[in-house]
Amino acid sequence: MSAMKRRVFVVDDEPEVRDALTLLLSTAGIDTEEYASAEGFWESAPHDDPYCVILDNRLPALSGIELLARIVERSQRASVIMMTGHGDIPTAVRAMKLGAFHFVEKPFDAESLLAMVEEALARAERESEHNAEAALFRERRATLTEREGEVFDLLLEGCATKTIAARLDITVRTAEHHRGAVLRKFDAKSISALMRLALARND
Amino acid sequence: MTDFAASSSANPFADSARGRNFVRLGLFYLVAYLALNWITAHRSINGSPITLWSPDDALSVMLIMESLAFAPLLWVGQIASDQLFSEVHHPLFATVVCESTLALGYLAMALTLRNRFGLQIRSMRPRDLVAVMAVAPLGAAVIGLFYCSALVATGEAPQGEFLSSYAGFWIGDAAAMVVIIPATCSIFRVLVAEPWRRTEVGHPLFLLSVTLIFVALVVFLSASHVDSRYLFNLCYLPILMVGMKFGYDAGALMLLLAQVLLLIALDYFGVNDKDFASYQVMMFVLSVSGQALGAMVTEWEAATAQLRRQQAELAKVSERATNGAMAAAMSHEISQPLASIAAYVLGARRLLESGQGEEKALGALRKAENEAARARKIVERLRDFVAKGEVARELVDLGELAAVILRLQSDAARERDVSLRLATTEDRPLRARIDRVGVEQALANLALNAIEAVPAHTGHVVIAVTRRGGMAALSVEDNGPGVAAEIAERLFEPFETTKPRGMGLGLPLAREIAAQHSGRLSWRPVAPRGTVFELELPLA
Repeated sequence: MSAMKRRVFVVDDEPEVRDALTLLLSTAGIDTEEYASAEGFWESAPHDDPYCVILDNRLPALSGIELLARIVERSQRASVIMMTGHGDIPTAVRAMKLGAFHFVEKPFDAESLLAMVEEALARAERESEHNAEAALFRERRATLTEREGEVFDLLLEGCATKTIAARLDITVRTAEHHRGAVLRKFDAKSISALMRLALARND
Repeated sequence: MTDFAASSSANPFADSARGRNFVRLGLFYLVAYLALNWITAHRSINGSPITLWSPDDALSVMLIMESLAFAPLLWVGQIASDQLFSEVHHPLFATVVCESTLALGYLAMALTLRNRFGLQIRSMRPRDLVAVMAVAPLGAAVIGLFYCSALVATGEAPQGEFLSSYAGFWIGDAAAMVVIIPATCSIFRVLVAEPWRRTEVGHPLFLLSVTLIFVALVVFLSASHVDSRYLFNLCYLPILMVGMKFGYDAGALMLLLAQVLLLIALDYFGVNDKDFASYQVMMFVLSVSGQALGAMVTEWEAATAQLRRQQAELAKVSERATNGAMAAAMSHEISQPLASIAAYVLGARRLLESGQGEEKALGALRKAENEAARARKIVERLRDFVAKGEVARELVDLGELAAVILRLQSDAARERDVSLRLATTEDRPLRARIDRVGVEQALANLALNAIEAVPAHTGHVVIAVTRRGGMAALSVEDNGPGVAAEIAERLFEPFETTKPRGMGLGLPLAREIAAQHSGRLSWRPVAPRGTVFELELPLA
């Protein structure tokens, strides 16, 4: 996974704050993309992938908390670190309720902000690994013929080859043939390995 | 009756001090009752015990309002006075029957006032006056009916004189009660409960009004070519004047004085009984009108004071809200450079620690430096903003300013039953060129601190204005517990407070205002106990 680019979005209307965060995160090998407004970010955010964003609440038009609401509505996989005003507990509470990953009070403690970003990125990474597996699974499932698909579904239900043959009204030999094809196409050594793959996709 | 019986059965001699007071009050009543009867005996009607002015009966009603346990004294007083002072001798049996009717009547009247209308002699409210004005004349009318019937039946009054006895009784009782009861309540309040109001009675306007009534009565009663009963109406003017200026307490005292002056004048000029009764009728109407006006003025003033307090409270709340909004805006402004400084500096350290690049680290530190400069500018802007609030100075008489503060804080002092007074030793006004609002605020803070620091009931606070070379000293002295050693050091630091709801800005603000005027704020303990805070300002 080290090959994966570590990237964080910084949404803050203060250029100095954005610049300082970019510099700080670069020391941890994290790239940043800076946005001065919520709208600017919303238009170019990669909604389908997991991502991490440091979001200031005080923004010119659309506020940080409003953007947060939109983000979580669109995708459960974004990790948002909310920056609130000092002592602004109500906003912090709202942010956490909406589903923010964490919040920091501004002016923040740079050390803990960095730790928080690392944590958020780790989560995003896990999310995207999971994503990749799911994509592969979908891809493989698509290569099965119609009959192989029926066999695959029954295999996942835990049926033995004889049962499958009886249910699909085919000979046991034919059923065994399809079963072998399914395992080959999924690159699975056994039925239990196939089940694991299916289960991993479903959680 | 039951609740009353319960309260009177509580042993009045339970503690000796109360017991002594009880006996003293009873004795005072008897002596006063007999003395008043002796004085008024010559105005009795047709040899009956009825007099055209009966302050003694007002005393009886008030005594019973204090405690029902005094009831037997009513019989003692009435029977004794009838036997001692009556011009015609009455058989004891007849006296006992008649006076019992009367005593029971006054008992009923006192209980009505106390239990039905909740009236208390020691703490009468303006609306209680209405109860007195209604119950006293009505009660006198009812009691008179029974009493005069009893007098006629026992032969103490001549048969054919029922109506004239009844009329005489009514005016004598009603006129006396509507003057004596409110006046007694007012004497209690002005002389005992709220002693700082004694000045009302010494006020030139009050003295002038008394003089006017005296002169009017003497002049009118000696004038032979005018019907002086009409001229009596001129007494309305001073009574209304006092009522409007001071409210119903001073008004009631004024009416009592007018009544006494009237009685002396009527006797001095030998006015006959018929005219005497006419004057009493006019006095009765004057009393009712004067006190109604006084009560209205007092109620109105209380309502206005309440309104003022609420307005001040509201102003304080909105000021706090404004301050809060400003603090939030400022904290947002200043948190931006602080946040970027934190990130730049940590970034620089990490770069140096990992040996990734000194150049880049130096760049980050330079940027952090710029951010520190930005933070400094924000603080300077805040200072300029606050300084902009400076207002034009004006020439102010500091004695007058202190008097204003005294008035403004008198409510707070009254609430805690603390004496608050002004001591000025200078005969010439001390003038300084000052920011009036600022200095008023500073002195008000000092005064309020003192009022809240001294013990309730026994505390006293003195505001003084004195000259000290080229400076004027506005000082606030109290007899409170003094400044605790652990607080003394931080006394003038902002946000240090010992008050549960204080902001801790009073003293720092006062010191700031002193500094703005090139003056100073200092404090020192005074012997045997207490503290004096002193605000010195250069004189103009």
